[in-house]
Order: sequence, then C-alpha cells, then structure tokens
Amino acid sequence: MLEHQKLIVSLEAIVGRENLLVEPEALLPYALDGKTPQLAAFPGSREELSALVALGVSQGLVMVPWGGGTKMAMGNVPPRVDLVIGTARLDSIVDYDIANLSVSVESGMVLSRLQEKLAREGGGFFVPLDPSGTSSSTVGGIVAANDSGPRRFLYGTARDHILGLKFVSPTGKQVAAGGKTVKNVAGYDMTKLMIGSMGILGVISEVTFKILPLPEKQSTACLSFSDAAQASKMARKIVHSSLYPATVELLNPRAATGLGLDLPNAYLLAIALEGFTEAVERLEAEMKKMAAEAGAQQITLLEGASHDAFWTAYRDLSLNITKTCPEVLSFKANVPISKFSELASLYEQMIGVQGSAFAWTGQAGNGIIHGHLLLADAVAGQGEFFVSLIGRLTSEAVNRGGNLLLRSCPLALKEKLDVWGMPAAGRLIMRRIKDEFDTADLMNTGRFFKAN
Amino acid sequence: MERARIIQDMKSIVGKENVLSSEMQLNLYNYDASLIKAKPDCVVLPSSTEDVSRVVRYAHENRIPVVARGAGTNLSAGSVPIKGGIVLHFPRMNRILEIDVENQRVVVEPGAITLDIKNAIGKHGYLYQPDPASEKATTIGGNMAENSGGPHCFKYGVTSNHLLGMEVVLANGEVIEVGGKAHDCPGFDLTGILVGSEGTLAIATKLILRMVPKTEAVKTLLAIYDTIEDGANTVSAIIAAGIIPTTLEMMDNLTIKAVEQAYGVGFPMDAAAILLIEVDGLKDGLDRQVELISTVCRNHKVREVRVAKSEAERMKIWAGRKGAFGAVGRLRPNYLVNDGTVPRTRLPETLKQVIAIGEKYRLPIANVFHAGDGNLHPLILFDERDKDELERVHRAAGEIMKLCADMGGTISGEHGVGVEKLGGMELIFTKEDLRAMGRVKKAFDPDNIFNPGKLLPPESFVERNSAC
Amino acid sequence: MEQKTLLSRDTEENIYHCIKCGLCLAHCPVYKELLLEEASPRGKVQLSRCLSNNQLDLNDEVKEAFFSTCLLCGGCMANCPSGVHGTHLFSGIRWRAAQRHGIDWRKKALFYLLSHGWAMSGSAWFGKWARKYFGGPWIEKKLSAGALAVDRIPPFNEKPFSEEVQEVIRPAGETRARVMYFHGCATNYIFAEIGRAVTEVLPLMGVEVATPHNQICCGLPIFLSGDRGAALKCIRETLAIFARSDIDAVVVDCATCGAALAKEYPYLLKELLELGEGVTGEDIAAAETLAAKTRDVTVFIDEHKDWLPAVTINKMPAVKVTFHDPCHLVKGQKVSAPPRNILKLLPQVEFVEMAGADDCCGGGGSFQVEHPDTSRRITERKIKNIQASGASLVATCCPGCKLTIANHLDPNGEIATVHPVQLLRQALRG
Repeated sequence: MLEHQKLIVSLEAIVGRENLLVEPEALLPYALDGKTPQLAAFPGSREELSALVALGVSQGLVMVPWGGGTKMAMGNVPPRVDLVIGTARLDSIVDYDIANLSVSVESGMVLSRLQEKLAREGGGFFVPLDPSGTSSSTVGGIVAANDSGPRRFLYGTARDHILGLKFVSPTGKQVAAGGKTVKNVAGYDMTKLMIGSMGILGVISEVTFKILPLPEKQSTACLSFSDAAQASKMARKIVHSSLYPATVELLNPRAATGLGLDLPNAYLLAIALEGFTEAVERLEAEMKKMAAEAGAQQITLLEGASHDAFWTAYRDLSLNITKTCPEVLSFKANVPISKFSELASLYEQMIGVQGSAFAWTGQAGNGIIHGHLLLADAVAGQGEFFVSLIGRLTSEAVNRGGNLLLRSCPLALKEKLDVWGMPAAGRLIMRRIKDEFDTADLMNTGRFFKAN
Repeated sequence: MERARIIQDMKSIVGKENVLSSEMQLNLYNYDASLIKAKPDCVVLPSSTEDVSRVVRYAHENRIPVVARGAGTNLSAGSVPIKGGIVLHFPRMNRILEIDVENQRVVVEPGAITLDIKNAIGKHGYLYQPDPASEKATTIGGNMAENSGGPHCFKYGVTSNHLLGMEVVLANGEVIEVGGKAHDCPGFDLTGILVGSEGTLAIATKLILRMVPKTEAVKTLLAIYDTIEDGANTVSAIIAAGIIPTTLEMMDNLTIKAVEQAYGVGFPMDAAAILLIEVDGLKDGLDRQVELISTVCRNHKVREVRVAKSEAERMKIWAGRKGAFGAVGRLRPNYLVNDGTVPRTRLPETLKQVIAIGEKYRLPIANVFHAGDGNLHPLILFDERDKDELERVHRAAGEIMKLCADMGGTISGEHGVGVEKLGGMELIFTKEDLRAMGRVKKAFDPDNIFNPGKLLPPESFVERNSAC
Repeated sequence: MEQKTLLSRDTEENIYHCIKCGLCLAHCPVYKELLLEEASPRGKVQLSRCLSNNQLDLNDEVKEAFFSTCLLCGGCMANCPSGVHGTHLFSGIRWRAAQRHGIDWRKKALFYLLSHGWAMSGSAWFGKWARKYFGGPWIEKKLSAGALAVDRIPPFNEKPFSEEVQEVIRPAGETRARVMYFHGCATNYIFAEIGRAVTEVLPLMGVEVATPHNQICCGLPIFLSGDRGAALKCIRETLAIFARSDIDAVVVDCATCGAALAKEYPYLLKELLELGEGVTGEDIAAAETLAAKTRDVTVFIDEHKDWLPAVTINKMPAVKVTFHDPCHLVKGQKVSAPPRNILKLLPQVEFVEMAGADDCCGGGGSFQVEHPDTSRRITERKIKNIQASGASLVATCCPGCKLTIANHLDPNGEIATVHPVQLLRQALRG
C-alpha cells in the first residue's frame, strides 16, 4: 500500500491530482475484460505522456493506452492492468496546414471533431477515413487499431492517409516517424509499423493526416435485393468497373434494419457516390440502370441530410448493436475480394443453423466482413460450441486466403480463444520487434501476444 | 572470409553457371545510377526462392553481406555492395506468376520489369498505378525496396500503397509470407515496414500487387510560364481550388532545353518553366476540371495552356518527362540528383534558394520535379573529372538537403537514403527516432548481413535497446 | 601495338556522358534475352570506361562481351536520353579487341573477299565458295550456320547482280533526275530481284539510274567487326566511285549500307584521322559529299512520289502487308515513314502495323551465325509479332533482316518477305 501511495505521488507530480483516477469506483469504466487497473492517468502534453511511460517502465507497470475506449474490447485477456494512460486531454491541433493538405493533431482528438472543423474550412476538406464510432473514436485509437470504414473502397485506409506520427516508445522516449510531405522514403516507414500495432509498441501522441478537398457532390444509392446473390453480383460488377464509387457496402437484412431506413427487410447495397457534379450525376444514372438490370426491389437515392444521417448511423451500427444486446460477439473477417460473397453466405448458413441472430455488413470491394452474433443468453452453457464455431468461421476465412479476428466477445469465450485468429507467418518477427521496443513487455501486455 | 572460398561455396549452392566472379563481372556489378562504386566478392543469379534462401542462410552462417539488385537504376547507391559480399542479381527471376483478375491482384517475381507487369495486366483492362520514370527498365523488386514513386503518385500514392503482400527471405534464410491478397491481415503491417527498407531487412522473392480497373478518361495539360515562381504558385492554387490532379509535374528552362534536344516534344525553348498537369476519372466533368485548371493557370500569368489532343501527343509529352533526367545528361557528363521534398506551399521559396545555392557554388542546376508532392529533383550538373567541381557539388547537395529539412520537408521523397543521404538523416530525425529504426533492423537482421552500411547511420543500429 | 588513347576523343566522351540510368536496358534486344549486366549497353559503356582508365585488361572475356552480346543494332543509341552513342563506342572497342586478339579466319577471309570484290574472282568460284562456307551437303552435318537453317538459306544468284545489270538505264521519257545506285552485297549475291526492282521502278519515275559495276562492299560490317584496315579500303573505293556532286542522289536498297554512306563514313573517318590511321582531310570531304547525297531508295521514291505513274487496281492480288523496321534504317537513319508510305500507296495492299515493328530481328549479320542461341530468341519474338499481325507479306528494307526473318518463318506458312520496292514494281507492272 505504501508502494501504491508512492506511485500516486509520483503520478500526481506528472499529471496533477485532477488528472489521476485512484478510486476503484472511478476506475471501473476502465476495467478491461474484468481487470480493473490500479490507476488511470491523463497526461496533458507529450512531455507528461513521456514521463508517465518512463515512470511506468521504471516501476514495472503494465500500461494500457486508452483513447475514446470504443475498441477496448479488442485484444486478448490481459493478465493484469496497472496503469491506464488516457489520451483524452491530448486533443489539440498541432499543425493546421490546409494549403498543403496536411493537419497534425494530438492523438486524443476525436476524429469527428476534426472533420467538422475541416468541413468549415474554405470549400471544405476532410480526412478520408470513416471508421466506426462517430462521436467518440479518437485519432490515436483509430490509428492504433487501424480502423476503417466503407469509404476505404475509394480512399484506402490509415496507411494511405497518414503522413507521419509521433509516439512515446516503451522506454518513455519521444519518437517521430514520417513527416508532413506526401512522399517520404527517408529511413524505415515507421508510420506503417505503428498503424495497427494495437498500442504494443508505444503510445501514439500525434498523427499527421493527408487531407482532401470535400467532393463537390455526394449522394448514396441504396439498393435493396431480396436475394444476396443478386446484390453480390451487382457489387462485383461495380468493383470491376471504371466507375469508382466511394463505397460498395453490402448489409444483410438484420444489419439493414438497424439503420432505420424505410426499406423492405432485404439485403442492402449502399453505393456512395462522390466527386464532381457531372460525374456523380452520371454515376447515379449508372447505378439506377445497373440496379434495375440486377433485379433490385427498390432504388433509393439519398442526398444531403439523409445521406449524412445514413452513414452516421452506419458507422455507429456496431456500437448500437453492442448497446442493445449485451452479449454480442463481433468479428471481422478479411478475404480476397472474390471470396467475399461466398464467405458471407456461408457464414449466414453456419450461424443461422444455431439460431442466434446474425447481422453482417461488408465491403465487397475490399473483402471485409464485419459480423455480429447477437447472442442474447445463447452463450450460457454453450461455451464449447461457440469456441468451435469461431474456429470453424476462422478456418473458412483462412482457407480462402484470409483470416478472422474478434472485435468483441463475451469474456467466458475470450478466455478460451486467441482473438487474433490464425497466427500469421510473420508472428515471430512481430514478436521480435515487440521485444526490441518493449524489452520488459509492459505495453498492453498479453493483449496482442497472448500470455503463454 | 576468403573470396575464393565464398565463390566456391556459392557455385556448389546454385551451380557454377549462376555465379559470376571474374574481374570483368565484378566491374559490372559495382555501380548503380548513383556516383558511388564498390565491387562485390561475387554475383549470384538466383532462379528460385529456394536459391535465395540457401544463399542467405550461407551468408548468415558466415556473416557475409548480401545485397539484392534489380536493374541497378537506383539513385542513392542502394544496390552498390559497399561492404563487398554477395550481390543477388534478380532480373532473371522475372515471371509474372498470376494475374488474378477476380481478386484484382497480380503476383510477380521481383525481377519482373515494372512496365512489363503493367502491359500484361493492361490487356485485362487493369492498371498498376505507380509509374517511376524508369519503369521500362526497373524491376518491381527494386521498386519495393526503394518505395518508388512517379508522377502519378500525387493522386494514387507510391509503391507502398499498391503492394499488399510478399514472400520474403529473412536474414536466417527462413521464408515467410507477409500480407497477402486479402486486406487487413491482423498484426503489424510488415509489408508496410519492408517496402522502402532498401534491402536491409529482408529480400522479397514474390510480390502481390494491387491492380485496379482502368480509369475511363484522362486529360493532359501543358502550362507554359515565363517565370518559375508563377508555375510554382499555380501548383498550390490548383489544389486550393479543390482539384486533385493525378500529376503536377514541373520542369525549368534548362531541363526543357535538354528534353527538347533529346525528344523534340515541342516544348518552347524560351519558357522559364512548364507544368505538366493531368486529370483523370469519369469523362463526365473532366472538361470542366480542365477549364478550372486553365483558369487558375491564367490567374498566375501563364503564357499558354495546351491540352493534348491525342493519345500520341500525350505519350510524346510523357516520353519527354520520363526521359528528362537522361536528357539533362547531355548538358554535362554527370549530375547529382537531389530528392528533397518540401510542403508544396514552400516550393517557390525553396526553388529560389536552390537557384542561389547553384550560383554560390558556380554550378548549373536543372530542376525537374513532382511539384504536386513538393518533391524536388534539382540536378546538379558537373564533370566528375574536375575534382574541384566535384567537391563543390557535394557541398551544394548537402546544402540543398538541409534546405529541404529546414523547410519542414524531408531529405528523400522517393530515391531512398542508401549511402548518399546517410549524412542527412540527422537533419530530420532525432537520435531516438533513428534508434527506433535501429530496433526494427535488429529484429529482422541482428547480424547486419542485409545491405550493410545503407539507410541507417551506423550508431543508430549498433546500440542495444536501453531503458534510459 | 598498344595505343595511348583507346579511341578518339569524341568517342571516348560517350563514356563520361553515361549517367548509368539504365533506360538502355529496355531497348537492348540482347539484354532482354540474357538479363545480365554484361549484355546491357550500360554495362558495356562501363567496361569501356574501365578499359579507358586501364582498370581492366582487354582480355578474351571482355572481348567476347563486346562481340557476342551486342548486335550493334543502335537501339541503345537511339533511345539514350543522354545521347551516348553506343555503336561508335562499342565498334571502337571491337577494333581494339580485334587488333589484340585477331579475327576469326572465316570472317577474315570473308572480309578479304568483300573488300576486294567477289565479282572479280568470278561468279562460278564465288558460288562454290559461298556454299562451302554456309552449307553444302557434307558441311551441313559438320558446320552449322548458327541460328540460320542451312537448307533455307536462299540460293545464291547465278551471277552477281552487278554483272547482269545494265550500267546506265535511262528513262523512256523526260529525265527528271540522275541517281547512282549502291546495291549492297546481299542484292549483289543473293537477292538480285531487289536490284531488278529498283532499276526498273526508278526509270519509270523518269530517273536515270547508274549502277557502277565495280562497286564493292560499303565496309560497315567489316568495320563493326573490328577489321578497320579492310573496312577503310572499302570506304575509300566507295568514295572514289560515289562521292560526286554532279548527281542528284545516291540511292541505296540496304539499310546497313545506307547508314554507312549517309551517317557513318564522316564520323568514322574523322575518328581514324584523329588516331593517326592514315586518313586525310580529302577523304572526309568526300565522305561528307556522299553523306549529303545518300538516300534510302524508299526515301527517294517517297520524296518524289508525284513522279510515279498512276498505280491502278491491277492483277496483283490483294494482300495484307506489315513492315519490319531494320535497325540501321529506323535507328541508324531515323527513317520509318517513307517505306510505309510506299506500301500505303498500293491499292491492293492492306497495311497493318505489327507490335514491336522497330524491334531488332536478331540477325545482326554474322551475329546469328556466331551466337545462335541469343539470336534465335530475339528472332522468335519478331516472328511471333509478324504472325500475330495477320499479314501474309512482311516488307523490309534490309536484305539482312529479310534473310533472317525468312529463315525463321514457318517454311510451310504463307508469309513471305519482300522489299517494298518489289511490291511497287509488281503494282506498276499491272
């Protein structure tokens, strides 16, 4: 206890009393898979962050970086959690260079806040990332988890938009990677290494994005199909055309109903169209024509506020599902694009047999399936069944050249699984990198590389 | 280890017909397109992943440097074996293994020539976006190692954005796959860290590239300026107008003259600068984009805007651009090309200072560069036989590198650090930044057998990770 | 024997203008097959540099690199953005290598004959000798002609073309121009029909054609093989006969000879002058006079196509024709449109462009005999492109290319090779 008090004093010296959580009740929201941290500290600057990590290392504390908390369900069950490092206060803009199409922000900045500010600038600009969790996802969390959304079909993912970033390494040292120019090959591309590293190589403190001018016109063609195969066929046609819409998003009936659209209970193909007015008008016409040929039941064109509302609801879909149903198992499967629809319908069959509700959305043009099993109380007493089901779902993805990871999962199951799916061939090198960076294994311990 | 022994062992590993070791051969693999030369102990021609793996395993056991080499078009000495050892010459591993149209991926061996890959997938209606100026000669493995760019990278990104997976040989000879045909493989983005690692972390033996459907239409504009500043200012203004062209390329008068002499493209010899601008996408709205761009050009005192009327005319303009470096070689025997990149709004003042540096050291400098990316390529012209001039060239190059760093940019946009820019690394990175890179090197290649002496200043790697 | 400077200053300067960018790799047919640096033009420039700086001995291996992995096709030179003239540089090194290592006896004998005029040794003897060198029943089994199928090397002319052609042919009507005709050795000894076509078509255009009987080899193949002594003899004799300012043009039916007369003589003579090889200023003046007058026969015809009699639909069957650009025409003389223009004039000809029309055919004179594997691979690409074009005739302006291409085309196939002027003659005959 004395040790604990000393630690509190040391932490207070860095972040101040008001930015430190010490009471168990206050720390409850920061529990990770049932493990409540000893302390949570919220640094207000890179220097404070650096000092915190250095202190954590010297005291042998297991540290967990924490942004908006939207993706904390990812990762394996940690053996213990000592210190949560919250980035909420690191939310300022560091460099705002619209003319150069680059902005640097601290990692605790909520992406949507940045987007709002950029949209008001001149003709409007944006960061071409649309990950889940509109109102709470922070830049640091999005980057650490390499989260992305439907618009990646046109714009790509974090690895395509991040020019540079800064992080505090597990030694407590500040490290900068990349820069603010679009092209930069000086040294290793450390930015890429940090994107998707799940906070195990350090705590991201700042991110520099490449931004783009907002498109002149945007709309979304929402097409409903009674048959998944019809929808997939149309999606394939679009993906292999020169039309380049922003999204080729497919939703199953259970997911589509969660969006509050007045559409029949059907498979929904949501094609966002962006660009110069003439091009978008042409795309709208093409979509209508293709949809009619493909046998769509209903063709709805969303514009203006309804377009925005649709995509906001879409981004929040997984969070809402989690809220409405306490026991949700969410996964993300990735496969080569030609296997997308085949895998999605196979999953429907495999999961449907069991009787639990299954909502999925997917990026047909990128081969990504986000699946949500609404378990209700189904998991009780059926742990073994679900472990085996997940194993089978994973095998099907792996057999098709992909993999499957769990984004959230009831603790009872999580303890029996590796949430990161089939170990990659490069696992050993990843481990060596981790060991070089974090010799004492204190950053997000056990969450990526499962403890023993 | 004794050279004769290495050669003998290599012959037993890959067969004697695949080992080159004569004095003549060593003189043929001691250079790339940079100014630095160094001979290997021998050159090995691998024909399979297995060959590469066995050679690397041997090199690992005996601590012998291994340098992978494609077409040797590198501009920063990345493929020069400065510590001797074994050069792995890849152009014979050049098969296009699979054109997977349904998955929009093409799988190739590292020795495949970039343009050959593009032509092969072009027949299926697909594109591979990166377009380094040397694409007709360079190998894709080299593009990977250097993270090559090109004019179209302004809109479409560099090699790294289009390379999704690889089969690589690690420093102990082990073969692993990183990334794959699917996006978002869980774990670290090993593909991302390997691209641009200049052969210092692993050697690729198979690459998976993204191919995308051909864009519907393209328009190419040539804007001619009487001052270089007006051209440079136009670049930012176009972007401010909400247009992201696929390319925004610039050439100054000295380059224009050289290109005209070599290619007869029809560039006006008296222009101070030209901008080569291309927009693509759906044909709808493209004419308006061209008009918008022309208006921006006119607002910046353009002398004339020409729009290419045919594909033949477009190809001719591009041949001029892609051959610009070589054409400048007509003016003086040698050039040293800088590759610094600055935020594009700082282009005008950077250019002014580059010109001043040229005057200070009495050296002609030709400028041809990716203006949209802010990626400068000042070509300092000289004759290496003039030792005094050579000395001035190195000092001028150092100053330009520092200038770019001071402008908030970087020392290399696309040519790599190699040996040439090692001294510039500390202009943009702190010791901690470099140490972090050193850790990556150590994780992959703890014995430093892969392309030693490149990319990382030596002290950033030797030191062991320490907690203080 | 050892010289102070390796080559003339202008030729050596090429070494220092190579910036090693490697773009030539994409234009070198030999590199594209062998994929080794020694085969690349860049590699050979760097070797030249080592030789020039005495960092490397001109040993057998180096000599072989210059002889066996280079066609001297000029592809590198034509595409080098820095303007490095690979052909001048590499032929210079070949010369020094030949001085040091000597030349293969068969080549030496051939050069001797070419430079002294086979005609003088009598056609009967010539035919016998040539069959013996290239083939003949017993030799077929023992000696090969490299990549060439011996049984498909065309028969030699009964007697050299220069012995059958009338020395001066005047047009029937008004004389619009007076030209001298330089027929290459190939026309002289193998493809007499090309010579017949040229000497028939030009008079129909109102052009008086003089074909000197005593003309000999232009010397270029000999020069490029490193035997500059023998080559110089050819050059001098050719200048003595053809360097005249009182004629309108010297027309040539062979791309290689044309490149020699129109482009190479002045440079080569200047180089030899600088190196003290017994060339005079008068030689150079004569070479410049000749260079200014020389035209590929297709260029001459295209320049004066309004002199051509009307070509009407005639008995010539409709035919699909493609064109192969000889290296020494397209790269050596920068001529590509005129022969196509002639083909397009012919109403019965449907002209189709093949892929890679200006890619080397792989022949390279004696290259195909000495380095058959490399040569064959290059030729196979050419043949595939010809076949893919759908043409039933391939036209070309170089008898060397014609020989190589015809030799590799499927003997049972229906694709024949011709000189464009042969087709023009057929069309004009009606």
